[in-house]
Amino acid sequence: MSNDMTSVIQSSRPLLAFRVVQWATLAALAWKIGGFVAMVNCYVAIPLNQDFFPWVFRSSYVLTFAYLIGCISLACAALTQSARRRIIATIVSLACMSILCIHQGSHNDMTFATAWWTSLWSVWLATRLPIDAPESLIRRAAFVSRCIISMILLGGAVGKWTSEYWSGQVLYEIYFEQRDFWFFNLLRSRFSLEGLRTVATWYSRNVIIVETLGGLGIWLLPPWWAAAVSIGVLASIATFSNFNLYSVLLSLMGLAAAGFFVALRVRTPD
Amino acid sequence: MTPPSFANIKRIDFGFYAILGLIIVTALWLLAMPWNRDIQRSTLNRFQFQTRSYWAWAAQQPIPSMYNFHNRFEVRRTQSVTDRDAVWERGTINHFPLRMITFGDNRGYFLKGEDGCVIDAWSSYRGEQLHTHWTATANPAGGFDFVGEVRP
Repeated sequence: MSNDMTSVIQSSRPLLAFRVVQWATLAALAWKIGGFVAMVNCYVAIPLNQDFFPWVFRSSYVLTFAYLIGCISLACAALTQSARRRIIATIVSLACMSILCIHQGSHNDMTFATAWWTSLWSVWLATRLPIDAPESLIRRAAFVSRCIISMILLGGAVGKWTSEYWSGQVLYEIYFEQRDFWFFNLLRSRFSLEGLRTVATWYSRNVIIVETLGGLGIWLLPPWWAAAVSIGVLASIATFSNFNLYSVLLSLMGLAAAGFFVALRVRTPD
Repeated sequence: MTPPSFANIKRIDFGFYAILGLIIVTALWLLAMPWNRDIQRSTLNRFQFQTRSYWAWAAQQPIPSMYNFHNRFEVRRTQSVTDRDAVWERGTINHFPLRMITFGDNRGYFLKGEDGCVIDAWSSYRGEQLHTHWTATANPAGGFDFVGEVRP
């Protein structure tokens, strides 16, 4: 590889990582587009007057606007060559994710909570791209990314540090009793009711342990290892519990990939 | 001594420290939750819209809470029917238990025409519990009024 090419790759690592995160977040938002359309149609047909939410955060039009503008701004941030437009696009997507996190019709969906954190990371990185040296910037970007992933896994773990989760009761009721998903259908076909309850216990304990270890440990790992472990853990969560969770986790998988850009070694001619 | 130039101030990465600070505060909040009753109450209230201020509730929304707590719900068809046999649907749910009405297209299943419904929601975490009771009543102007109260 020529020295020119080496220099281009090295200098563009933070920008490449930034773009991966924008596309991954966009993919996360698009993952449940069918469900989103059905949901908004339902909200338009049957508005819910709940005083807790200000009217603007009950409006289906605000919800649709925030979702669409959020998607467009993510694509703009990924595609633009202009640093100024990149910063504006990331600020707009952060604003849209903020609306989606606190809107009556979308507050429940953790897709927007994880996208909020990746958008926050993106705003910061976009503002630093024109200023900082690429090598130090990508190291900091990868460090912040694994801190965010650790904190989010910790959030999942702490809420499960209860006897009901340790016994497997909660996940048994949510997943094992009736959920139509390949993994649980397979388990139901293989185990008796009693055996299924035991499997639920160990499944739940495995989730608690993995999330706890990830939450407490991923931020301490070297960048490449943190990226690989995070993507593996996040993909396993969705693959073995609910494919819809990819909408929650794709943005984090993109964020985790920032670590690979630190570890990337470009061979230079002797 | 010369004051720092604008170029030098620009090179200090304030955003990096601000994000790290936010992550640390969030992580400390989460780590304190199993032992701190106020944080437990705050999160239980968040899950069932009982936070005193909407904006205090909104400020907690970026705090990750996937599959937190034991959250259960029961839906009944009318306010007058209270016996357990009349339960339309009950279940355990991953986080916000009122999502059966507020979120997704379930609303179309439970709220049709003039027919409202009653929903009870329970969330529990390490001995702390919250039970709320909600009614969805058809509004002549359109849609449904959704009103809830805390139950002992």
